[in-house]
Amino acid sequence: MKFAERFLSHKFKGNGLKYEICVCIVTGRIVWIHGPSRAGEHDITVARQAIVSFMDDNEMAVADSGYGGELLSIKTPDFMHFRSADEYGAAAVARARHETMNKRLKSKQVLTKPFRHSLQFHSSCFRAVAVIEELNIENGHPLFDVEYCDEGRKR
Amino acid sequence: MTREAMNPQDMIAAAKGIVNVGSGKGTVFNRRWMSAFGAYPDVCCILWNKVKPHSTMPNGVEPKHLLWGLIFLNVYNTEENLAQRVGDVDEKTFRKWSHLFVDAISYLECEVVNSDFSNIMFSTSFPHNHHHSHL
Repeated sequence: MKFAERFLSHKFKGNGLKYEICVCIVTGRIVWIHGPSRAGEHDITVARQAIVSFMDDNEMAVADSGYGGELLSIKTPDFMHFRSADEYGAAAVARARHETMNKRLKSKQVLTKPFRHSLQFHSSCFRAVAVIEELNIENGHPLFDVEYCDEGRKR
Repeated sequence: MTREAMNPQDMIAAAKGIVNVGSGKGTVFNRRWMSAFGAYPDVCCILWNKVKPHSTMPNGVEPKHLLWGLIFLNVYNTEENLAQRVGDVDEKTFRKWSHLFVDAISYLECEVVNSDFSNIMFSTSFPHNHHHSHL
């Protein structure tokens, strides 16, 4: 992919693309893929573009602090979002498990090395990697379990 | 090549010449296999059976071409190096089949990545019927 200023990420000091992955807390399976967006796009901006609108009233997501600002849809590591310390701790474990998913995806070198093909093909490569990892999870190599007891929204 | 459902032993046989499969089992085999392809042999078979290459791809498709797509994703070396590794084929041949399979696997997203939460809703006992997922 040729250098373009719009893809510049100050975090990585180079070009990059951002994808959004959602993992079900109960089953540990991938349930949502969204992207690509430019790497400099804010996490919550990407979430507002799609997943926040797609979630039903009885659905919520647990995400890191970059997703602050959508109190009715996303719980961030802020104690005011949780009714108990137990749920707060369980959400931290769920977020940690998601990092293991990120690690599995990034172990595929096509997502790590400088990409030498078109932007459209990067999207295909990412989705192919996600499909492969999802099948790995389904067929005997799951992520670790999370015991999460949802206690609803704190209003 | 038979058009019946693939089994892991067929896939391991197709990988000979790409990786040192040895006895075809054990931790050393798993390490070598995963290092090259990033998906276990049974997962490779599932991919092959879901893609249905004999009805969706040009004539001459073989299981090794699926492995070319996987090695492309997992190793992502230059085409020259990968084409040599998979059996000293032409770079254009490697590109043709590996890109075809990458695209075909990506199209499985709708089938494999299930965003339907309703099954979860009824198979678990969430208080307040809240479904949580993490980003």
